Order: sequence, then C-alpha cells, then structure tokens
Amino acid sequence: MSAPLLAIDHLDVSYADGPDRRRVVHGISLDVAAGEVVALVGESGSGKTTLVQAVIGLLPEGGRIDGGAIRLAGTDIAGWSQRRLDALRGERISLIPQDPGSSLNPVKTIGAQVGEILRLHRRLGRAEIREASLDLLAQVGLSQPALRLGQYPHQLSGGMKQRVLIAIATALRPSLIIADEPTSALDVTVQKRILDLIDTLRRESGTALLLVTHDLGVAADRADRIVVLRDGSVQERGPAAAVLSAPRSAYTRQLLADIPSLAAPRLRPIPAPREGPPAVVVETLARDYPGAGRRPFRAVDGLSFTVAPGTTHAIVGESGSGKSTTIRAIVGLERPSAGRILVDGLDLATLRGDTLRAFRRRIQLVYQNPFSSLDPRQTIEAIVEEPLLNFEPVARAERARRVAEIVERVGLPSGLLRRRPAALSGGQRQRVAIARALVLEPKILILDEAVSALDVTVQAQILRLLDGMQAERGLTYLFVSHDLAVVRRIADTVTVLRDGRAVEQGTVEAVFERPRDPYTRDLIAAIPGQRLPAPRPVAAEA
Amino acid sequence: MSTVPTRVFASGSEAGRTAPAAAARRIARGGFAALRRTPPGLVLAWLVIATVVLWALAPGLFAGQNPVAGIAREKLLPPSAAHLLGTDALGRDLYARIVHGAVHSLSGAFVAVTVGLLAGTSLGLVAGARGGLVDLLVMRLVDTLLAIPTLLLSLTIIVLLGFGTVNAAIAVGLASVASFARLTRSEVVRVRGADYVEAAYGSGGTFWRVLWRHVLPNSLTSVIGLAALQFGTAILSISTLGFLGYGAPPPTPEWGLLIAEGRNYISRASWITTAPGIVVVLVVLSANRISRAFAGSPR
Repeated sequence: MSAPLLAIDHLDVSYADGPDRRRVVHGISLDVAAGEVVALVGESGSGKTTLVQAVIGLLPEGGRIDGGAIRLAGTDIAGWSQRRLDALRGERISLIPQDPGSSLNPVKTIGAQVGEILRLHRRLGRAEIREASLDLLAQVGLSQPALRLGQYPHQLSGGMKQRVLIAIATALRPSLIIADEPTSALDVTVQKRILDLIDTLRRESGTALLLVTHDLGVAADRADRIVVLRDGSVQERGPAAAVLSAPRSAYTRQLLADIPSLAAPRLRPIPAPREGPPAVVVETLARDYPGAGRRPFRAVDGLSFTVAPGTTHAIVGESGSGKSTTIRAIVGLERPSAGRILVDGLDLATLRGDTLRAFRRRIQLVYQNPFSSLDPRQTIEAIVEEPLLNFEPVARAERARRVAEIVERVGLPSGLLRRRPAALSGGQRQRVAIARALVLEPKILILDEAVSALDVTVQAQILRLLDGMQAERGLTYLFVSHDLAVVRRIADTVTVLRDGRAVEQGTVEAVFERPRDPYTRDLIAAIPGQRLPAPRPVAAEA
Repeated sequence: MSTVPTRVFASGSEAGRTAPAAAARRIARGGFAALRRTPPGLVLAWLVIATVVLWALAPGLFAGQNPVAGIAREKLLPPSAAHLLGTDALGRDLYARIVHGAVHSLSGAFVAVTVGLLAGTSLGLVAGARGGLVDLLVMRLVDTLLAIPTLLLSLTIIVLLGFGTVNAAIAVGLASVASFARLTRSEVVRVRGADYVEAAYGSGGTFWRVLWRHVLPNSLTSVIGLAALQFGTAILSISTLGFLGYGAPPPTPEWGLLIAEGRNYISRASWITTAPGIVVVLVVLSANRISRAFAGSPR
C-alpha cells in the first residue's frame, strides 16, 4: 500500500506561556487516506484546532511544533518555511475556516477574494479568472453568481459567506480539505445544506476531508473514520460505525450519552400541569422596528401562546425569527407595538418604574453567552449577591448565606466565590448566571439559548441542573433555542417560529412526531446525528 | 454610593487577619515576579516619574543650592562638579532650579488632569448613560470645544481667570475636558449595551445603581490611560504657557519658564535651555509609556 495522503506522526505542539511552554498536543498520530473523511472530535480545549493549524502551518504566535512529523504523501512538511508551504496551501491542502463572519476581508469584493487564489496559483488572464470564479460560485450553489462577484461580505448571510469560503477552498481541487468546525456558527438547516455541499464537492473530485467538530452527531453523519481527542491526546479511533456503536473509552461513551438527539428520551416524565392560571400568556404580540425604507420592519407578528405553571415551553426558530424580541418583551425590556403579555397574572403594559422593578423578582433571564453576561470586574460572590441588594434590605449575613446556598445548589465549588469570571470555564460561568437568576427565587426563568454556547458534555450537565431545579422549585421555564434536539430533551410544549409568526404549536411529542408544517419537518430533518445509535443513559452528575 | 468601597475594605481586612505573614510574603513574591515580567522601558518610565515626584516632594534632599538667589560672578558657568548642569545668567544653579521646579510643573499637571478628568468624565458619563437630548447637547458642546485649538483655548481661559500657576493649570485642564468627555461617552455607550448591564437592570437594579456598579468601573480603564497620557501633555502645555509668560511669574523655577529664560543665551550657554528641555521630554515620554501600559492591560 502506498503512503497515506496525510500522516501525522507523534506530533507535539506547545504554546509559549510566560517564560514556560504549555504543551497542548501530546504525540498525536493520525492518517488520512485519499478520498476519505476523517472526523476529529473533541470539546473546546482538546487541541483539535491547534492540530490542524500545525498541519497547515498556521499556528498562532507562540505556537511551535516540538516533535513528530507531518507527512503529506510521504514528504515531511513539519519543518517547512512559510514560503515553501505557500506553494502547498490552496493547491494541495486547503482550509475551510470556522467563523464565516470574520474570515472574509470586509473591504474586498467576493470576486476579488475568490479570484485571489486563482491569481496566486495559476497564470490566468482577467477574463479567465472571472469565468472561473463564476463557475466556482455556481458550483457552491450561490444564486446569481455574477451579482455576488461585485458584492461585499456584509451583503451576504452567514451561510452564503461559508459557501464563498468553500468555493475558495475547493478552487484548485486540492487533495485534502481541512474543515475546522465549518458550520458551528450557522443555523441547523443551513448547517445541513453546507455539509451536504461539502460532501457533494468532495465526492465529485475524490478529495479527502479532515473534519474538525465538537459535534459527534455531525461526525456520525459524515465521517468514515472518527478520532476522539481529549486534552491533546487521542482517546479513541476507528471506523465511524465501530466508534459509535461500541465505544471503548469511557470518555467517548460520555460524549455519546450527552449528545442531544431526537432518539434520546426526555430527561424526566412530563409533569402533570399544576392547577391555577397560566404562568405566561402572550396574545397577538407584535413588535415593529424602524426599517430601512418608510415601512417598519415587523420582527414579531401576531404571536400567541400560553405556558402552564411548572412546565417548560420552548420557542424554536432560526436566527432572525423573532425569538429574542419575544422574550425581551416578556421580561419587560422592550415594549410591544401591539398585543398583550400577562406574566403571573400581571399585564406588563400596566407596569411603570417601581412596579416594573418589583415585577422583575418574578421573572429572570439567563443569557446565551456566559462570557458577556457577567461583569468581568465583579467577583462571583458579588455577581450572585447583586440582585439581593436591589430590593428590600437583607442583612449582610443573610445575603452571604443565601449566596452560598444557591452557589452550592448550582454545583459550583465555594472556593470560586472570590474569583472573577475570567478564571471560570464556560460551563461554570453559565452556572453562575443561573445562580444569579435564581437567587431572587423567581417563578419564571427565561433561558435564551442558554446552552447553545457550551460543549455537549457541559450542555448535558446544565440541562440536568435545570431539570433538577424545576422539579425542586416548581419553576416555569421559557426555553428559547435553535437546537431542536435540546428542546426535545427538556421541553413540554413548543412553538416553532419563522419570520415572526408561529408556524406550529403543540406538545413536544405531537410536533416532533407528527410535524404538520413543512418548515418544522425541515428543521427536524436537519438535526445532525440521525445515524447515531440510541444512547444508553449514563449516571447523572449535575 | 459607598457600598462598593466598604465591601472591598471589609474583605481585605478579613484576609489580613487570617494570615498576615503569608499574605505579605505572597505579595512580596508577586511583586518581584511582576517586576521581572515588566518590559524594561516601562520600568525606566516609572523610575523617571518616581524621581520627578521625589523632587517635587523633597527638593532639599536632591539639590542643596538655593534655586532663587544667584551668585553674580558665577553666571553662565558650564556644567561642572560644583554645578551639575551649570548656572544661568544670574548665577543660579540650574540643577537646583530644575529640581525645585518639579513641584510647580507636577502640581500644575496634577490639577490640570484632575480638572479634565472630573469634568470630562462626568459630562461623558451623563451623555452616554442618559442618551437622547442630553447626549446631543453635551456632545455638540464638546465638538465646539474640540474645534478650538487647545493653546488658544487655554490662553483665552487664562485671560479670563488671570495669570498664575494654578490658573494656568485650570486652563490646561478645561481645554482637555472635551477629549475626556468623548472617550468616556464612547466607553459608556459600549458598556451600556453589554449583556451584564442589561442583566443588572433585569434583576431589579435602578439606573444610578447600575451606573455606579457596572458602567462606571468598566468604562474607566481607557479613561485612566488617557489621564496618564494627559499628564504628560499637561506638563508640556503648562511649560508652553510658562514659556509664553502666562504661567508662574519669575523667579519661580517653573520648567517652561526655565526654557524661556535660557533661550537668549542659546549660542553661548546652550545647557540652560537644553537641560530643562530634556527633563520635560523625558517626563512626557514616560507618562506616555505608562499610559500605554494602562491601556494595554485591561484587568
């Protein structure tokens, strides 16, 4: 057998850390054969991005290959200079970067950026480059390619930008494409279309693909072989089917159990709806924003739903569907243009100043991004304590007791109380945000994509925590998400939102098993991991 | 308004009671480690500023000679062992005059920065946090101030207030209000949109409490950086005003005045102008370097 297309052999990579060096990749070996799809799966911090950056010679400043070899079709390229690598990159290996939003130059047209790779590697005339660029854009499924050539990145959606990046990556028919989380920043339906596109292009030209992802579901659907990374070393490797059906390492089993998937059972049986009036009633809610022209832009249009106390209602939709506007209106941060919102029997429109402030005790919001929702200058203790200072005075000792209690309840070690958010991981920060929301003992908790920014394992832990809190305190959750699999796991009833209108409503079972609206069906079909075997439960730990 | 500082002091004293010796050792070790990691240019900048501050606090320790009374027959002497930087036209020791002048230039710069910082930050904070009409009015006023050349503005204010070191400092400070206000406003607008500020309102915080607890502390980092930068600029501006005769009256050994007095003798005794000039340049550069360090390490 000839040498594999890419052979990584005992590769060590470290970063400068003050005077010392911190090793993040520990002797990883990995092969990719021609035409094969290998998925590199791991959580954030597992060293997967560093590994592929080393392969393509783009380690950030301070990064260094300490040992091992990277062989491309038998030639070791680990020690090559940037100039020698330049001849390789684009031509034989290319990269589809992680974040389409920041990977295109905002001041250059799409045409200039697609044409650049052709200009650098091929001697082509202007007309030929234009011709080839048009072909490429058509190939990646962009509508009106001639129009796109003259447009700038900000005029394109995230999915379209990712298509442009794929066009650039496949322009020279390289033998290996590295895709570093190519779809993490995109909505599920867009994600599916982009992955399908990469698959098609790859199959047509026999290109090998090294797919870096944190999502085992994506890996299960697309890869021939899977390599599971943790803390910079390989946990498990093998054919995709074998790794998924008979994982050998405990870590892989944990990962598999934590993936939210449609096949997964609900975390707990559906609670019997409690007696009493509904916790949240939204009636024909509408919200306009001043638009570009004279006509205002209607973000939410005639939305109605009710949430029974003690249950979880999910609002599902892609970005721009009006989810955020809806919940901001429900917590009283924005006033609706029309319609009525009742929270715990109170009509929000009647609240002003002090009554509005008092209302905030009953309903709290947990934000999507735990990195921006905590004040970087406060200690964890001060963050969790703050809501208590806003209402009637509570004695200092009593405050400290309540803070310690809730912090312990959300599963944070008490040693973190004096630390600042920067010292915490994403999952820990989200626990702090939940503790801050619960310290006032609200009746309703609104979770705005509260687990979307987290790794699957952490996500599963937070979901279990939320579930436990609900059972314990009889909380009502309004759970906003674009991730249907997560919704399936935690919610009782669901509203599917598209362009500000509810396209489908009902219990989770009814909507997921018998979707009536084609859009809902699309959303469900787009969830990655449909090829995953039904997971086995793993002992809860949150 | 005082809740935050009291809490900080309380936690500090608690830590001190539990293990004072260990804490002291940790601080000492941390200090040395921090010093080793600091770039040498920054250490030098701090040394320059520290020296000048010491000059201002205790000039007698550094220069024994009288800065005001001269000895006529020792006029225009070049630098020597007796007179480190030579003497001026009236036979006064130049080194002593520079050392004793530090207090005038530094206190002037301090007053100027304080005036600019307090007035500018308050204006910017109110404009950024309130928004709407208040914002519009304050920022147009600031635009107008920015449109007038700083020196001209300072001179105008001095003409209104009268001559003197303190008035010159106030004039320089008022001229810098606009840049402080602009920077503060932009920072406040940035912080005001952050999730944690919205979360603070969402948990029942009132406008002023959220402003005090979250918006102000998180906006101040770059404002402090600007203050350090303005400190250098203020020394330069006060020297300029002194040079033009709008600042301290002779025989005060203010730095700008020293440079002005020496310029008549520049061909025969260049040190009289050069030495204080170099001191001003060093102090301004050091202040610049330190301000960059502030701006570059958001903590």
